[in-house]
Amino acid sequence: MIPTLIEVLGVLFEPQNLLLLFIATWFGLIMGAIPGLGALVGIAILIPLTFGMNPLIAFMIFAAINGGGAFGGSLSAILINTPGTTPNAATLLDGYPLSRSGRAGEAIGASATASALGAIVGIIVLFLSLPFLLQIVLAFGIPEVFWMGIWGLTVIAVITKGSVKTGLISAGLGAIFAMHGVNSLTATARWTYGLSFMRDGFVLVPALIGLFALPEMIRLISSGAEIAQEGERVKGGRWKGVKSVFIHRKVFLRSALIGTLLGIVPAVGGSVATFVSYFQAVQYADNPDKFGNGDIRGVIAAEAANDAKDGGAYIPTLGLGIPGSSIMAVILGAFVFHGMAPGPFLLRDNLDVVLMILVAALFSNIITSGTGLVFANKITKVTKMDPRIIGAVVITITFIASYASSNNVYHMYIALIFGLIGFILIKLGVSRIPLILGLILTPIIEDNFSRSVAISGGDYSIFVRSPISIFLIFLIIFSLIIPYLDSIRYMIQRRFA
Amino acid sequence: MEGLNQEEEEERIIFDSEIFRIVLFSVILAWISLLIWQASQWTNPDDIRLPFLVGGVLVLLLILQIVDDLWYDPIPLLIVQIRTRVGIDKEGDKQESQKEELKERMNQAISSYQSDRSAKEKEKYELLLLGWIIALPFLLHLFGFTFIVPLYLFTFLLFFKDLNTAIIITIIFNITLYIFFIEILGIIFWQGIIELPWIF
Repeated sequence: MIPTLIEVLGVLFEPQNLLLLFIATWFGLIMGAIPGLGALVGIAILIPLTFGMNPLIAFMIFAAINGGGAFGGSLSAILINTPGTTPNAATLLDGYPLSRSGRAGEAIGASATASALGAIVGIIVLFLSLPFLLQIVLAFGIPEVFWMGIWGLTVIAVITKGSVKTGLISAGLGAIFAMHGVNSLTATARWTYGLSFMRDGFVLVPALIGLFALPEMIRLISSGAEIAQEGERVKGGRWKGVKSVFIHRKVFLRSALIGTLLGIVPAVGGSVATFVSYFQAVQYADNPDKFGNGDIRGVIAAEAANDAKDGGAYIPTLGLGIPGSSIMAVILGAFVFHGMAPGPFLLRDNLDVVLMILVAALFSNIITSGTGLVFANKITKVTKMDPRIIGAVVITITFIASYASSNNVYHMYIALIFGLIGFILIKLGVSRIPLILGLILTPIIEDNFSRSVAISGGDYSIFVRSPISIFLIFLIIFSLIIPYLDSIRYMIQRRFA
Repeated sequence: MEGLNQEEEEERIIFDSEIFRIVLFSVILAWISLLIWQASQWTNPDDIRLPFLVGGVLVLLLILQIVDDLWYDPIPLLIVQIRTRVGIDKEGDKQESQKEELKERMNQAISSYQSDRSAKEKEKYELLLLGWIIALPFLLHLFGFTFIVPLYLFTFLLFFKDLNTAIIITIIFNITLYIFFIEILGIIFWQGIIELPWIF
């Protein structure tokens, strides 16, 4: 692992790649700072434009955008009382009151430092877990990868927003969409509706772009929210904010660890991590009354967790092929686009890309915090952009990017179809992550199932031979039962009361 | 009377209605059933296996969901339980009321940036935007990128914003598009099914 890491650092520190890292980080910072936009839309749109690029550089860009976006939202939260992304809502509770009392610099300093150090904690945990993950991965065979795919779909469907049924419906729909087109195993055309372009099926990247970018733009423009509010200005006190993270190091460490651990749980997302961390800080505080009225510990707790969670989220994403958040689901799609199969074998076969993501995330968080510290006032000017302009530009780029992914005009229609599906799913309160995961994992599941049956000569017991397979089957059943455990316990208590 | 009109207006919000959910899930159920029927015509077991399995489970889930929407789903969500438990303290505790107040502020912060229009107004904009979004790929396919991209952006911003913004943004965007996509990335844009001789 160390020789690969040295090689990756060598690529990262080439002048042109370093410049790209900075540009991608600033792009993510701006995307995160504009309320309603976020790094996710930026990554989704850029995926097709990285076609032909060295995957190391492509994933450096994605990781940098993600790193930049996490902190960008806190600037809006602190200075203009509007969270850049939903996880930044916890930062706003104390960040904006601090700004109003003339301590914007202190809030920014604390936020920037907690973000950078929180990200470092998350990435250290990720780095330390890699050798263990590698050992686990080496024990995986083809039947085990099949069960891992099933478990990935199941656990995401159960844990993600919405009911268990709707989560499973979303995953099932994703699987059905994935099975359209020519079956790569048998060369049979399935569900092509007599259209020649449907032989490729629902191609992942345009689907991904449409599913995430278009509904967000509809939401952004139709909300009518005035982003352009007059905010507070950063005048001084940044260094005091930086020092406060070290003064309240217990708050920081606890929050960073909570963020990392919650990030590991698939599909939990940033909002829960920052929410839990913030309220834990309140609970453990000697004098909790100040929270919500400009307590620097509130900013530290929220931002440390918000950035640490990404390190945690990379663990199931890169190690098992199960996304830790919606951005991770998009990054999984990027792996498929670049010809890498997500799942346990990603670590084994593409360790250099995994390590590049790790180092790019680390450096981008440091760059973004430094940039935010110095240029906070200038960065928040972008929040004055009219959402109608942003929406018009992003909608146009969505279809351009969908076409550009393979110079196929019909891919625009795929983006449109999935954009409409994404819009409807939001209205139904159904999460989109299981659907995109179904699109990504179903070909892997089907391929590994057929290969397992072929290897065993039609003997299905191959799926229950190894301890890992049995453990994964148990996990699948357990995942389906978890939501109902309380009800079962309640019924048993009533029965025996 | 005003209150009654407001209630009636809220009831007519399409996307949030129960009927919308039931109809939509029913349409999905019908589509999946059709796909399963088509799959039954295939001959290779490797083609049929997974579609049947997934399709069958999906049909069952959709039926359960429709039944639930027609009646009521009493089973609580795991993630809702986790989110609820995180903030819960003993009843009557001072910390509990502070946490509730902070949670309320957080939710207000999130919802205030997500919408400051009424639900009905927001829905009108959503339908309008859907129309604009649906039109774009068809126009691009028919007339090509070179003609449609600047025209679409201009008319969109003219409709939703104003003339000056439309002109400025269209010019900046198309210059950036040309430099980035055509010069740097080398993408050859589709010129459309219908050729426009008076443009080129």
